[in-house]
Amino acid sequence: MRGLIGIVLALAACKGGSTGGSTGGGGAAAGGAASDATSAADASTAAIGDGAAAMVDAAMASDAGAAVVDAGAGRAATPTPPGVARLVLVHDVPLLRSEEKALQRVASALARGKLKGTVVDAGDEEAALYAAWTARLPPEPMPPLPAAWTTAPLVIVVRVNPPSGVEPKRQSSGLGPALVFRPPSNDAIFSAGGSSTGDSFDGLIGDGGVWSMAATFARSTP
Amino acid sequence: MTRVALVAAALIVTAAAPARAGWRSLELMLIDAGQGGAAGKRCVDRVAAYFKAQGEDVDLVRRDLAAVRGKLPATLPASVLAWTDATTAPLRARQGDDPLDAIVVIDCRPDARTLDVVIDPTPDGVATLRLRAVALDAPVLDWVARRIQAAAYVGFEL
Repeated sequence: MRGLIGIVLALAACKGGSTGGSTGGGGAAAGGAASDATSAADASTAAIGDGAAAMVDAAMASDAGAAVVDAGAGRAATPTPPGVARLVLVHDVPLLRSEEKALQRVASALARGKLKGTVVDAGDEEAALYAAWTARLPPEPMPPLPAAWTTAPLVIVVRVNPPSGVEPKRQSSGLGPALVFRPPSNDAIFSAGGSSTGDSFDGLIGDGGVWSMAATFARSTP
Repeated sequence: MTRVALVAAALIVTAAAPARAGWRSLELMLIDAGQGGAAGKRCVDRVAAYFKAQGEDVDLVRRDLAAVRGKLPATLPASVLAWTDATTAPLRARQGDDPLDAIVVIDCRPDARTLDVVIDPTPDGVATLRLRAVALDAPVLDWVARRIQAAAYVGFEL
């Protein structure tokens, strides 16, 4: 009899464990869908500026022989090689170290595959265009595209959300909503506005991320 | 002894049942704005099929705009992108039940290759998705549905 009760209690314990796992999984699924935050905490920040852009592009160059693009000291749009898609990052504060590492993974992913891409920091014109398009409604009239975009088959613009927390426990808040253009049209082929959320850095290149549709978007005839 | 065995059997059955503590479906209403004709309906069907494929994770209520029009403001913006949470608020409340987690309105026009979506999740403010000059085939619509679901989860609470 005691043995039977023991078995029952053991089964109940298993059930309890299963419940916890399921709850955690469900919560994670919901949270993952709802949040773009990456979980890594950073002990310190690292300046992105020119150095980080060059680092990202160097990683791409080593992966796929892509041309190294220097973001330059100014806020002009960075030129990219013809035929290479642009992933333009809009951010006001330096990236966290975890974000820089994630960005290296993004850059490596963009350098692979049929459609090649490169990561650049936004110039002033690109940042303004992003702000105009991610307001409540599409801009009227639609602003012209930066000249640097004309040779790109596709341009994806995302904002890096400011990190949360305070030093030394700052955490990435992921990316804002994405904006996708297929030059020369100045009408975005994909835009998300209002309170739309964006991908995480790894989500951007993951299954269901914006980059997962890049080839489809670039192929779609105007 | 028989009583103990029965209790044990009941506990074993309970233990084997799927765990549901701290879990519930995302409850959303999908509204076809009905501007895209038959192709538009097929487009919305595809998005709805994505949600249905999520099984118990998504509890989908589907309506045509005409069916809920009486609950909406007399004058609606020409584009669903201009809808606000005030526009959809009357649809969220349900008699004798918790409010829906999100209202999703889709204006899909495959022939014109345009898709507008407004998602009104629980917190204030709406999210919008807009596609232009893109072939609205199954992979694109599945991708859009996935992003709708992500936006609908904003503010989701157990």
